Amino acid sequence: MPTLWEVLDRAETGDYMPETNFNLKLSRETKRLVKEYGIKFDRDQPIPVDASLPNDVFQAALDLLRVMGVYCENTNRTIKFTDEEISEVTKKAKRSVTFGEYNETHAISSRGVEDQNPPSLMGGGAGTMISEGEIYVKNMASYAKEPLNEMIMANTPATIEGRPIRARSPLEVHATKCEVGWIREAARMVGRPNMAIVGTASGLSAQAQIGAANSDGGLKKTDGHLISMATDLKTNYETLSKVCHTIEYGGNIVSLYTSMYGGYAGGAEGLAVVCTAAPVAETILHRATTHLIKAMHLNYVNTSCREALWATSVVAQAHSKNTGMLLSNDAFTSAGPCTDMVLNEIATNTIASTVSGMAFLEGVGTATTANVDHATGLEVRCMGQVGKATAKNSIKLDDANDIVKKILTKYENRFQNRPLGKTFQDCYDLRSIEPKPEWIDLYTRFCKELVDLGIPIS
Amino acid sequence: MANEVIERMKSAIADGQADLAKEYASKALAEGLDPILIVEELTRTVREIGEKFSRLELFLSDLMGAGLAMREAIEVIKPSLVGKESKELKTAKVVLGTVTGDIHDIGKTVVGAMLIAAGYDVTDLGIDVLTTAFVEKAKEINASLIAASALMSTSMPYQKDLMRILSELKLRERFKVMIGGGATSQAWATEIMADGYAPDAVQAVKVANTLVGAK
Repeated sequence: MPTLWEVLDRAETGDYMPETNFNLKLSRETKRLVKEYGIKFDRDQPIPVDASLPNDVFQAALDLLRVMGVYCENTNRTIKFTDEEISEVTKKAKRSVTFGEYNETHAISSRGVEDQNPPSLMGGGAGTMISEGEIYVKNMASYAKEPLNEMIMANTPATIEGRPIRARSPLEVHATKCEVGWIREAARMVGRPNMAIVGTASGLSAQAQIGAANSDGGLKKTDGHLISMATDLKTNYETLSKVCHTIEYGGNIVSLYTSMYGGYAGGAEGLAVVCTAAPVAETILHRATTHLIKAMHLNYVNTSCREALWATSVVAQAHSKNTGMLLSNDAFTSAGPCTDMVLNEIATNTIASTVSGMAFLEGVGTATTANVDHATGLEVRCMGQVGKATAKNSIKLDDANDIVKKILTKYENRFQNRPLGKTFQDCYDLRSIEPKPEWIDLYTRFCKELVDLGIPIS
Repeated sequence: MANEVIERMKSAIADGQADLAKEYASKALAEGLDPILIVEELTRTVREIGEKFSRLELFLSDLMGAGLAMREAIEVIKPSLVGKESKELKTAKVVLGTVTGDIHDIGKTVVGAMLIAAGYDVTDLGIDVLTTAFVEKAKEINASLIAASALMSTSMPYQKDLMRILSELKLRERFKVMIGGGATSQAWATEIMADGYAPDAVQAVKVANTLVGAK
């Protein structure tokens, strides 16, 4: 694998190309490879059962990476990888990574397709905006309180000191430090001070994220350091600066890659190919040990539609069979808390991820994360329990496909009129940090329906 | 023969083949076709692709390719348009970009492609664009509309900056401003006194038409 310095050299010496040309080339090459490998999306199989499909997608993804490389937005050059480098990464990827400390040490490990070992759980609102201060702490405590949750994924404070958080400003640096401190306080509040935090969510600039990584109240080495790759197969100096710092600090890099159905990747087939290529690139370029993959619909902005579920399942199966890389779906829903729809969207995401071999579950970005305070710990309870029930009860791909299709009929015609649901303050008791009866009743009814469908959630 | 040239030009546009589109645009002029008619055929073709894209029957690269090919073909026809007016080809210029601190590209690019498909002359400044860059480019090209996207809450303050700076430079009346992006809302647009808010690319074209389409 090239050193980070060699990567930076390539960013300065690779082929020059205007960004638009790179985007259109990515589309052309993806389309060509989809055709060459005969990859086809089947609406009747949101969880595909064809055993050869994941391998075809995997080979197409490696071909795509060979021909495209990764684009550096600062230098307008492509960083290319050799066959040997790609091969080495796919064969020697880490198959187990540990987060957290002492009694809260948890290992994320590779899983097979239809694996009976439940996936690990990295639960939070995936960056949903939450009111700052006390509400933020209690909101994060609602995730820390869930017994199945092993690591806390950060939410974003909506403001800081009553002011908007401005990117690259001193307030962003302050917000990022507050975010980590508040989550640690939340974990302590529920008696789990050693839980790993995965962030940051409020500070995406290098200065803010680097400033928040320190052993004196900040993100520890044992926490997850979230570094996103730009859509589609792009990086930049800001991202690489975070990588440089995190490597020297000694933290585990959790990568996040988003690609869009309808975007440059094209349809569901192209989405699967590009999203399968991304973790390989992120391992080489960004030294990521764990990967969040968000195969998202351009119009619906969720991962719960049929096309996104299919792509997510294919990516998981492709890596589970070929690399053992530690992947999760970054689950995004259209609906918000305290609705039946959000639970059903979580169920399809979780069943698809679990049965297809994702190493861990991450989310839930409810109501597309853009609605302040629309995220609660119960969504993560749902994700954890559905994942555990799916794995422990040996649900097979074809059974999972039938179940997911039935659940899809409950919500897939509601994306345009999605229910945003209720805020955390409205559906949780803020003293006990427990869901209010209305939210619990909805969840209980959902569990019964899921049992009837063949997922024996307890 | 003329009809055949037009059909081939439309196919080249649909396939995103800029060189061919230019070639057939030249041939159409050589055949003596009215340049206004050629422009109308071009814009109609790209608009149809835009409509298919909004339903995701086609994808972003199809729309981008068609938009770029149309732009090239129109450059060929432009000299013949002097003194003529096309209801399809809007003269309104748009400056587009994602504001400071935000590297999200796709949503903004989709809006740009849809505006091009609707006949606008779009200058895409890219991502992470300084507030002053929007203003300077809009002055430079005499734009009618500035379209500023913010997907992250931490970038929204820069949309507010844009409005303030335009006011302070006494340029507020000169340019219409439309905002959008996942973090924004109509309420935010109202608060910062932007002229329009578009939740998606289809709406962005409608808002642009309302704000400056008649120009």
